[in-house]
Formats: sequence, structure tokens, C-alpha cells
Amino acid sequence: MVMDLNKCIGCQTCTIACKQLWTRNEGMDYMWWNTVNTMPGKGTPRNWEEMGGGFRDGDSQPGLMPSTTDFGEAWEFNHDEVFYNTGDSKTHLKIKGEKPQWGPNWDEDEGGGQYPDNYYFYLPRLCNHCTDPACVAACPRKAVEKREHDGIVVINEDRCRGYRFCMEACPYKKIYFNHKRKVSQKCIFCFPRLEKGVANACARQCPGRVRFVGYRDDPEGPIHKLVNKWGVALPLHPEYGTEPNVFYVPPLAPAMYDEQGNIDHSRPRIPDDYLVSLFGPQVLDSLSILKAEREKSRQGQSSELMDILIAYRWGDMFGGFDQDPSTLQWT
Amino acid sequence: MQANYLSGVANSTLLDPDASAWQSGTATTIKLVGTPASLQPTAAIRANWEDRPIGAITEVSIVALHNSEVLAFRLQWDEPNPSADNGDNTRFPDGAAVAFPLVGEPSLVTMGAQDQPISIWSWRAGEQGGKQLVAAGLGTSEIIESSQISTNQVWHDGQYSVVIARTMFGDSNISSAQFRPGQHSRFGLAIWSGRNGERAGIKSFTPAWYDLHLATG
Ligand code: SF4
Ligand code: SF4
Repeated sequence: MVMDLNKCIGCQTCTIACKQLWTRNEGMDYMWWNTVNTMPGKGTPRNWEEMGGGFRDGDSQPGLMPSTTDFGEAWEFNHDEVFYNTGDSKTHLKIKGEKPQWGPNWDEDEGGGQYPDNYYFYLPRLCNHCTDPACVAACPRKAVEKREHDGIVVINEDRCRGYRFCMEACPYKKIYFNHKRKVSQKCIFCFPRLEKGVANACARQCPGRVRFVGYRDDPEGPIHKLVNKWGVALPLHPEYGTEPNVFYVPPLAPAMYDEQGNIDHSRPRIPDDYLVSLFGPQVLDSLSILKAEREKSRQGQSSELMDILIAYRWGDMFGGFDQDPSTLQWT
Repeated sequence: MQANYLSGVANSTLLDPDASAWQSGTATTIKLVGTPASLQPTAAIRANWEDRPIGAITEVSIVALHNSEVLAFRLQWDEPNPSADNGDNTRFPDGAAVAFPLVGEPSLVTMGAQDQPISIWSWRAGEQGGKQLVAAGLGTSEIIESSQISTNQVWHDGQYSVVIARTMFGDSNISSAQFRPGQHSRFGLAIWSGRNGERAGIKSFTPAWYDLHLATG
């Protein structure tokens, strides 16, 4: 999957599409296999980038367990009182119990920088279905598996004994624990949809046309073009050593103001260093290519890259997984 | 250690950790040691545990009883802060297990070997019933679905009393230990301390087997 961060509007439609489809069963209330967070920010789970795991020079690194509070507990609301009239007319919707101090999108739109040069962008995340998955390597029961034919990483719940070594090892902290069923659970990359030629729910539902789907080795598909051919889509935190298969087109920032209040095009509001810390040094090349191609487009010249990123034809974003789910029998 | 024979005692009595029947058995104190981090089956587990102490529980008192139908073990150990799943990912349940050799002279350190499997009866805090597993090497344990392990536990005054029991024979599963009065067998123990994050191969255990004799009456 490739996500174009220049187009993400942080609407969480992807998050809800995933929730509706996959995480409504028992023990899954607090799970958000897809999250969208404001960057810079603490992310979900809170401070996940400081929790370790993954590999360095091929060696497994110690990893911390993200607590349920770090992910954000599922809040319960007084729906009964408000909607079924057991309260009085002044009763309004509120969280039951203690006031929470954290949640999955707690620091939304805070971002970084000082006014008027403040900045932020949205970072949608899901399991990266890594080529060298730390979760698979960590499990002593071989309960986590990378599927040979499509590369999707899945947890076999019949083999899982709830040991949670995968949760400590995954450097992206994208695995949840189901405390009712005592098994670890994570994004399944909508494999039952892909098997029927239907793109992932988060991708099809995205109003921003942010998400491209397909096989990286399909030379006609968008993933190959954005990652391999144009080299503009990069993995998040490549230094974690797991070789993610979710890639990001980095955000081009608006320019800063100078002392006189004029726009200074030489200084982007999102510091290069910050983007390098997220996507590695290659991000600078990616940004240069994006700027050059955008400029070409402005001049009225044709740019294959801009055409792909604009996604004129929605169906072309899905690398052949463009079946309409409503036309299929799902039983 | 001898599993005393209590003729006519109800199965439910054997499952009660506080039953006075347990007074009629002989308590044996057994020392446990932490598993070595270097023997953990994956590099990620080794990386997380090489600098952390393993094996918070160092001593268990055990009594075994049978009524010719059910064989029951009562394990007691000190635990100031019992731990069960409370909905937090960082919290692990306490656990206990009794192991038996199925074939030959398996090593407990390696959880048996491919041609020398071991049988395991396990209890976990907060879970209904126990589980029977078979293992033939590190990281190979499989749950035997057909087998019923009964467990029960109380915790008071800083001490756990946990009963792990099963019918002695008649389980047709080949991976299941079988017991008859008069039989000589061996057993090993493991305890997982939830507050220390112990689970799977991170535990305290008996590196060597102990003798078990089932009395005839
Ligand atoms: S992102 Fe984490 S859970 Fe997903 S494949 Fe990679 S290591 Fe495993
Ligand atoms: S649905 Fe698309 S635009 Fe909305 S938050 Fe998700 S990725 Fe961003």
C-alpha cells in the first residue's frame, strides 16, 4: 500500500471503515487496526516510536509492551440516559466513569512549530505487513505467519497462547491484545476482500484518494510506479529493520514567513530533519522529485507522477483489485 | 513423593484447595530456578530478558492425592501480589504446571525432545479450567483439546493454593499421561509469576524430575 500524505485530510473514514468491518466483536472495543494521528505527535499507542523492537543490523532489539491505556481504552457513554430518557432534559452525552487522560487521537491537530509557521500533517497507520516481520520472528509458537502467496501477515488464533511477545517485538506497535479471547489481533489487510479482487476497506472508503493498493512487483500497478520507478514513496522508520510494505509519499510543506511577513519559499515549515527522522534521508530526494514534477505540471507539461498521485481514475488506484464489493456474493 | 490414596473421597473434595483431606498427604518442598534467558526460543525474547531476572517464585510446597479415579496436586507458594488479566496489556496472569515424562528420559530444560515428549497439566489465574498440553522441545507445546484438566485456586494471607487434577487413566489420547495405583512415575513443576511478566518459557521450574509414587491403599 502507498499513502499520499499530501492528500490525507485526517477524516478517519478509513479508521471507521476498518472498525465497522473487522473489530466489532468481543474484546475488540479498544482496537483500531487503522489509526490516523497528527504529526508531530505522540501517536497511537502513545509514544510508540520510543518503545523499541524490530531489528538493528539484523539483531532483535528489546521492545516495550504498549499498555492498554497507551492505546486508549474504549470509552463508554451514557447513551441510555440521553437517548432513552432515563435522565432528565438536562442530561447530556458524557463518558461514564473516570475522565480519561488519553485516547487514540488525543493530540489531534496540535502539531508542531510556532505561529505563524506552525505545521502538522496526518499520518495514517496500519500493520505494515513487513517483509522481515519482527512479530513473526518473536513468536515462540509460530502463531504469526507471513502468507507465502500474498505476503499478508496474519495471526493464527488457534496457535496463539496470549504471550504477547509479538506486541513487544513489533516496532510499529500495531498489534492489540484481545483480553476476552486471550489472543493477539491485528490488521489482516482485508485478505478476504483481496482474495475476491476487492481493495481494502480503508482504501476504497478514503474520500481523499490517499491509498494505493497492489503488488509491488506488478510493473503496471501504482505501487511499483510510486516506490520503484519514481522512488517517491518511502517506508516509515526504515531503521526499524522490518522492511515495511506500506509506503508514504511525504508531505510537501507550505513555506515559512520571513521577518517582514513575506513568504520565504526557501524554508519549508516542516523541518527537513523531522521528515528525515521519520522516512530516512531518502525523503529529501523524494521531496525534490515531487517538487520538480509538480512544477512541470504547473507549466502545463505532462507528468506521469502527478497523474498517478492525482488519481483521476479512482479504480486505477487499486492495482487490479478493483472489483465492486456490492456485485459479489460473500456467503 | 507419594500420592496418598484416599478411598471414597469425593472428586470435588480433591478439587478444593482448602479441604482438610490435604492434611493427610505429605507436603514436599521443592526449589525452583529461573529458566536461562539464553535458552529462550526466539531472539526477541532473549533480547528482552537477558538483563531481567527470571523466576520470581523460588519454592513450592506440593501434596499429591488420588482416589483411584482422580489424581490431584496441590501447589502452594508465597505470592504477595497475585496477578490475573485485568484488561491491561502489560499485565500477565500467574500460572502453574505439573509435567510428566511420556517416553524415555526427556530433559525438562528443553521441554522434552522430538522423540521424548512430555505431558503438561496447566493452570492460569483467571481462566476457567486447566489445559493439558504435550511438548517435544522448546516452543512446541500443543493443547490437547480432548482432555479435561480441572483446576481450582485460593489466595489468602499472601499465599496461593492451587489444585491441578485429572482423571488418572482412560484418556485415549496417546499424548496424555496415564496413571494407575501402584505406579511409579516422575514429575516436574513450573510457576509463572505474572507480576514479573513471566509467561511461556519465562518461568521458574524444576530442572530435574522428582519421583512420584501412586499409593495403592
Ligand atoms: S508492522 Fe508489526 S505487526 Fe505488522 S508485520 Fe510489521 S512487525 Fe508484524
Ligand atoms: S480516509 Fe483517507 S483522507 Fe481520511 S483519514 Fe483516512 S487516509 Fe486520510
